[in-house]
Amino acid sequence: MKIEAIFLSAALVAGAAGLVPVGSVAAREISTEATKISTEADAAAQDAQDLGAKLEAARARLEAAAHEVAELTTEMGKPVMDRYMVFGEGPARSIIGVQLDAKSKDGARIQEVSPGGPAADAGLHTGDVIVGINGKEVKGDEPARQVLRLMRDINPESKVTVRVMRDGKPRDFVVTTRRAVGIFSVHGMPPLPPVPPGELPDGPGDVDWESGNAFFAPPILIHGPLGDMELATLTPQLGRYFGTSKGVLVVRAPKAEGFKLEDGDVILSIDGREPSTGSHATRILSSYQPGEKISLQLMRDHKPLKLETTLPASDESQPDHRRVRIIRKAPPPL
Amino acid sequence: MHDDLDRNTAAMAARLRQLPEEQTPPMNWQEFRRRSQAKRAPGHFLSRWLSAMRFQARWPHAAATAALLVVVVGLALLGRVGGIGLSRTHSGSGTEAFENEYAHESGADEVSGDETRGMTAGGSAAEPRLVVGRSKAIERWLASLPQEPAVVRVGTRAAVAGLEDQIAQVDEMLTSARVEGVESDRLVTLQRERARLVGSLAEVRYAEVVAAQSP
Repeated sequence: MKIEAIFLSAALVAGAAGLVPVGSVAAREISTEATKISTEADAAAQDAQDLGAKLEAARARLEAAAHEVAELTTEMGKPVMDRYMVFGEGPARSIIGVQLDAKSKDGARIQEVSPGGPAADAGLHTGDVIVGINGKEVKGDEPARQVLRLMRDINPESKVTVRVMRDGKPRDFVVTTRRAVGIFSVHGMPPLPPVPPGELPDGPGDVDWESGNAFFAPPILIHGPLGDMELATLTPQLGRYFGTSKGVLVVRAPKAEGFKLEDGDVILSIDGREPSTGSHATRILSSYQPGEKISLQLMRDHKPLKLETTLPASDESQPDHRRVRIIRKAPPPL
Repeated sequence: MHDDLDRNTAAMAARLRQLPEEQTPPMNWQEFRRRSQAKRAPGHFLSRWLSAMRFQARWPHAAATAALLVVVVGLALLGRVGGIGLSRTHSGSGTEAFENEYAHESGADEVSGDETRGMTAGGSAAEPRLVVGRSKAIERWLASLPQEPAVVRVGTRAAVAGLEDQIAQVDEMLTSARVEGVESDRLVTLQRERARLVGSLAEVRYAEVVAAQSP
């Protein structure tokens, strides 16, 4: 429209100056040309807008497809996980995310570091040799087995000092352990009365009461409004702006009725657990069921605030993979 | 100030000047016509092709190209199946056999000539090593990414976190399996499961990176 106005102005100015008679053929041609150019410009702008919208839609589809990839990958892996979960002394409650070389001597050599795992986050490398955990030496025969045993006594989400030998020199790393996937410890619980096989449906998840461990479908996806929430790890500069030195910033709160979180809130703790990063906050949130009540410690408008709220329910059209399914093993044949 | 750069440029220029003015053409018209006639003649395609290649002065290059093609096709097929539902029989049993197979894991990302021969002659003889090699290549890409985007979307991050946790779990299971000396088939199954999870993690993280760039 601006172009059209410029051309019209030019025609009028030219007419006023006596160069082109107003209403002449030349002025009409200029006006027609201006309209044509303006229409083309509008069409180009509309095309760009359409393409932008299409690109956004494609990105949204890509993200949705990524969720589906994660979901299907987990579903497909469940038989393997269920089948091979227990070796020797049973599964660990907490893990650090390394593969150890069972043959290494003078310490447990790290054969692989799990991408995105606690050890990777702490800076451990493939080839490092673990020689101590929380001050307890790892040496002698079967150091990898020693590490596994030591890890059994460590609670999930606790900080562990791992001493490794790297380039011939000892180095200490603080690793925050994670809860093993799909493991819910029931140590100390009395055994359940026998349930005839067939009364519970088959499927992922398992309970082995003898070893005192229950296996459940792993928590993975967060569907519904909570999944749309956006979080940012607080940097020192952001922290100064929001009046706190720690916590996770809520960039976009979920649009869900009854959920009291707002844009600009800083989450200081979730039921006492202090999130250090956006990922950490996500992991904490994924441990709850949709509709569950949580207690949040926040910083809102530079003032501390404690509030109780209910997590939004998940989208009904999506399966809830955080649902716990307890499947009892069929007794061995007589 | 930039003496080292100047030196490098001068050295490169000297090397460029030493190059021949033009490359010998790969084949002349006579050779082209001979091949064209041979193509129309009866006989097995492969034997004709091999026969033509024998006359080729640059046959080692052609052989290397063919080997590379076999590797690429093999990797592509491996990528397609993604290690899902593959059955594999191992002659050995126990951790020992598995460890021998993975003895050179640290170099598994470089597909060697031995592996190529294993794939062509023995079907999937080098498959576990290739699976690990592919997984390692993906892990290097993952390691090059920041731990998380500046702004994380909870739904996508939960998907990433779930896969990361499962990989860590499989690593724990692999350590336990090795310590207990279980049969190699189990180790291969777990290793394959790990590779599949790593592949999916890369896909989800890619989507996350793309989404993070959206306005």
